[in-house]
Parts: sequence; structure tokens; C-alpha cells
Amino acid sequence: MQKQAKPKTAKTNQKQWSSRSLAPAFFHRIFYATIKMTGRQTAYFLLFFVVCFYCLVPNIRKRASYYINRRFGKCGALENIIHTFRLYWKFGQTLVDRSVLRILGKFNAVGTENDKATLRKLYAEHKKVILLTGHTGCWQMGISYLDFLDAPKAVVMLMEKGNVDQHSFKWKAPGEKGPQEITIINPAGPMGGTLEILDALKQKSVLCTTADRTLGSLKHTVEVDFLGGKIRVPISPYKIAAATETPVAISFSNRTGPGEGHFRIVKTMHVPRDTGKGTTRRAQAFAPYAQNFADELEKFCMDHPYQFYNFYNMWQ
Amino acid sequence: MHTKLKELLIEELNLVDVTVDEIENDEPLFGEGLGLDSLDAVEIVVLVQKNFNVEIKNMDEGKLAFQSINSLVDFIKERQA
Repeated sequence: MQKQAKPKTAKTNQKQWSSRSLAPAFFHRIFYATIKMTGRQTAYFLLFFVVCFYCLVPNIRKRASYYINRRFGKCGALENIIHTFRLYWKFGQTLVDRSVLRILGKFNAVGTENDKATLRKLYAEHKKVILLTGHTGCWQMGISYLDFLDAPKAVVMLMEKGNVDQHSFKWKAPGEKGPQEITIINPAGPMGGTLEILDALKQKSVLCTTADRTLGSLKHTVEVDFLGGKIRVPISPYKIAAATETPVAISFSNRTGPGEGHFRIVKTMHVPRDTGKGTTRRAQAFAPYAQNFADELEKFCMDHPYQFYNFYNMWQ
Repeated sequence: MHTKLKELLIEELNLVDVTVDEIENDEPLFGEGLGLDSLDAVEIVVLVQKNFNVEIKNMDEGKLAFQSINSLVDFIKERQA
């Protein structure tokens, strides 16, 4: 008799994306030095030429085309290059902003009082929150937005070998002078970082994670509708939310200007503890929550078409 | 405790087509053995805390406890003592 959980029966997923930067290490160092010596604007100036170059490289253009074709439909060669340029330009600006935050400590994260009140209330009621986002807008600066929330922060982020890009999570707690320690949890670590995630939630943390990319086994993914096609997304955030009875807040940010981002809480969800234990078993039981996320992500793409940063074929 | 733990694993992790008798006490829980994975670990941590009032706090403790049913039982007994 075959056990369902045996790995030999589980389909595996060849990861289609990488967290590694396209640019070599010295490129990054040039940008870091430029920011240090001359500030943000010169880095944007340099970026312009890098983005122009990227738009001319067929392989790099192809990476953006999967999303562009879905979001804008089939378009002519010139229009396609313009979309590609605008997408990479926005992405590059976000990366420069992130480096400026790390080097100079400057980033202005804004949000409405309503959204802040929603998050405060959710945290006050449960003493833990999973903040779910996607690779959109200025997601990596999201921690800055959480300044108003007096709670430990943890970020789930893939740290691949050979990634030369330096990340930044400067964060200052209310009333504190220096930046606070933020727990970084690597899902490529032992047990997918799940024990660290559980520990962070036990420590009453706000846990920030993305939910638009799959990593590893298909067993823990579901298919959802997104931009006129089907994509697979992970169920892990919802499963962890159910197991630990943690509320989920879906949050997206869009870059509004140099070193500035607007953060919004677009939806909150409660995943019941017994999800996946009834007649709809396992991963499929989490599909409605994953679809909620995909629907919000699609709305974001409609509103901010050049701030979606998944450069691979998600619809494969 | 071995049987209770196996029953809980089957129920909480939805291990269909697996009976208590088929799970060997020394069989690895993860990878090649019972084939559990990182998300199943979440359920195990929660069920151990809920049913035995024992916390698996970090990766070091997890490595120790998650080797097999035997090691999980030993871990629980040691923490309860």
C-alpha cells in the first residue's frame, strides 16, 4: 500500500525564478559608491543607461515579456520595448531606493490612518499577524511602513548563494534611536524555515512574507486565476496562519516618487484552524485564500502596471 | 504514547492510506521515510504542543525530535519529566 505523503508520489516543481541579481557584483558596488558619494539622483542617471542596455538584450527582454503580454495584450515591437523599459526602469528605481535606504537610511513609507488602525487592531487582538505581499512596488521597504506598530518584526526572504545584491531592512521602533533587529528567515534553510517562522509568531511578531512565487514541491501549491491565465502560488502562508491561528493582512505598496512608497492594507483574512481537514483535503482547501490574494494582486497590476516584478513565466 | 502519536499524525496530517501499524517506530519522518515535509513540521509542532504541552522551540530541538516516532516520543517524555 502506498502512503500518500511519500516523496516519490509528490510532483516536484522546477523553480522558474531566482532571487539572484542579473548584474555582476561590481555593478552593484558602482551604484553603492555613487549613492554614498553623490546621492540618489546620480544613481538614477546611471540606471537609465543600464535599463536601456537591458532592453536591448533579447534574453532580458524575454523575462519581462511574459507579464507584459498578459497585462497589456499582444502589442507591436516598439510598444513592447517601451513597456519593457518602463517596467525595468521602475524596478531599477526601486532597487536604487532600497540601496539608498541601506546606505543613507532614507525612505518615506506612507499609509492611511485607516490602514494603520486596521493593522493595530488586528495585532492587538491576536498579538501576531502575517503580512502577506507580493514582489510589487517597494515591497522590501515594507518594514519601514511598520514603524507605527510596536511589535517584533520578522521577514521571510530567500537568500540564495551567489546573490550579490544587498538588502536593507532599516527599521526604527517608536521612541527608539537606532535601527532595530529584524529576524530574517530563509525558506531555503532546514525545514523551510518553518520552525523559525513558528518561533517568530510565538514571539508575537509581525511576520512579512510574499505569496506570489512557489518554491520547491508542487504539493504545497494551488492553481489560481491571474491576469487571464492560471498560475501556481504557495499555500504555506495560509497553512501556517491556520495552524497558528494567526490573522493575515494582504498588503501592497507602490512607489510614489524618489525614496517614497505608499503602503495599503487591501484585505484581512482569518484562515480557520481546521482548514484542509474536512472533505476538501490538503492544499485545495487553501485555494480560496490564495485566490483572494491573486485577485488583490491583479487589482494592483491594473492600478500600477509597471510595479510588478516577477520576471519569469508564471503561467507556464 | 507511540500509538497515540501515530494516530495524531495520521489525523492531523491527512495521511490517507496509512495505518498506525504501517508506521515503523524507527522510520524517518521526513524525506525518504514517511515522506513528511516542512509544512507538515508546522502541524507536528502544533499538535505536540496542543496534545502533550511540549514546545519544539527551534531547529536544534526540531532536528532532535523529528528523526522518527521513537525520537519524538523520547523528546516529549524528556520534556514532560
